[in-house]
Amino acid sequence: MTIVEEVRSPISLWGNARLGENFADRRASAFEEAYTSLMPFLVSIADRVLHDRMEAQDCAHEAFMKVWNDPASYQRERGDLASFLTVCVRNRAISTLRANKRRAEVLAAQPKESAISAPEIPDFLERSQLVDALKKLPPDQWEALQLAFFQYLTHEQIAQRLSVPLGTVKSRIALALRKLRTALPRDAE
Amino acid sequence: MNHLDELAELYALGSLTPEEERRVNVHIATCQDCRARVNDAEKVVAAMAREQEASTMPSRSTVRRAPSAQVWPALGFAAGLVLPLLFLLPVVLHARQSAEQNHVVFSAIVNSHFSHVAFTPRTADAPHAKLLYARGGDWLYVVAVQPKTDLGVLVRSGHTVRAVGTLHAGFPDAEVFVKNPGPVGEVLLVRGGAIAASAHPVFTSEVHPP
Repeated sequence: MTIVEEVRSPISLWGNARLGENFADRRASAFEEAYTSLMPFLVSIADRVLHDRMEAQDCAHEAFMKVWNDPASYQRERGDLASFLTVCVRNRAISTLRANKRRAEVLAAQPKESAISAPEIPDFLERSQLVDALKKLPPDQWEALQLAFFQYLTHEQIAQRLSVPLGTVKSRIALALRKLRTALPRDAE
Repeated sequence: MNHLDELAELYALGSLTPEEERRVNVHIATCQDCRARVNDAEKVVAAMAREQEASTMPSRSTVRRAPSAQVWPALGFAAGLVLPLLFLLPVVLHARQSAEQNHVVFSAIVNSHFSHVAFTPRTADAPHAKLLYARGGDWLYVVAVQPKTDLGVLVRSGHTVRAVGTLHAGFPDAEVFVKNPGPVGEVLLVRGGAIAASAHPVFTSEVHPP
């Protein structure tokens, strides 16, 4: 039996304006290119949230097809296609997680990331181009961001967890993401 | 007009309620400024997700996987090998796919309607498996998660049962792609002569009735 080792990287898809335009025009070649190159990554994203490979495959496929089949969902002005699809799949996975009420079970199996003393960064981000910007985030912003990003909490849940007003949570997360955006290298767009 | 304010960033993080998400979608359809903010926030979240995945890719990428173990890209097959065989029925594909080979398969996907159905376990240790198939009966794709032992893939049509492939154990995922499977009433996964699981595709074409 033939063995393969590589997982195809979607890196070339990031910031690919031509692909985004062709996808927005619903050209079959764009479907093929985006699906072939991005789907393994999108499944991994969903799998990380759902902890269920089969469910993740369904989630990623269904999210992708929903975007493809609805011309209004992705248009050129929506920006980078790979980022758009990543967020679509991730958000769909998070919604699924909440809907099937497995969240408590999944979170119970995860390390208590709330115990991370902000602004310490998980190891997997250390090589990231974001790491410097993350380290520079004020502790309160990092705390709110990591609860949203790593534990998939709603802003209302974050407010309850941190015992701060809802508006404060919103502001902290928004400020954090805006700072990170300015730190992203232009070639990552 | 009330702009989104912080909702743009929370939207990208998946931290909004469904109602709030709908509000964002409606708003950015007409507001260029807020759409740009959502786009920016999505780039950050996607970059974080990418870094998160990249950090685990080394461990994942070193896991030796079964041929064409990526579910949808896995529909590829050796075009040079297969194209001549398209005239033979059925054609069972296990081979590692290339970009050209993917093109053949994805063209087929784009141009066909397909459905999927989970295999119904018949034994306690049946693998978690799913059958994807062209509704017109042009192809079948059987995927299973970590089968503990090799499983034969059989196609039953009436009183006729044909072996079309094997799901191999020892890999994170296993799959069998069958081009032009012929008449299909039921797909069976068999271990040691016993049926471990079964699936019933529902075709819309009259070409391959059960």
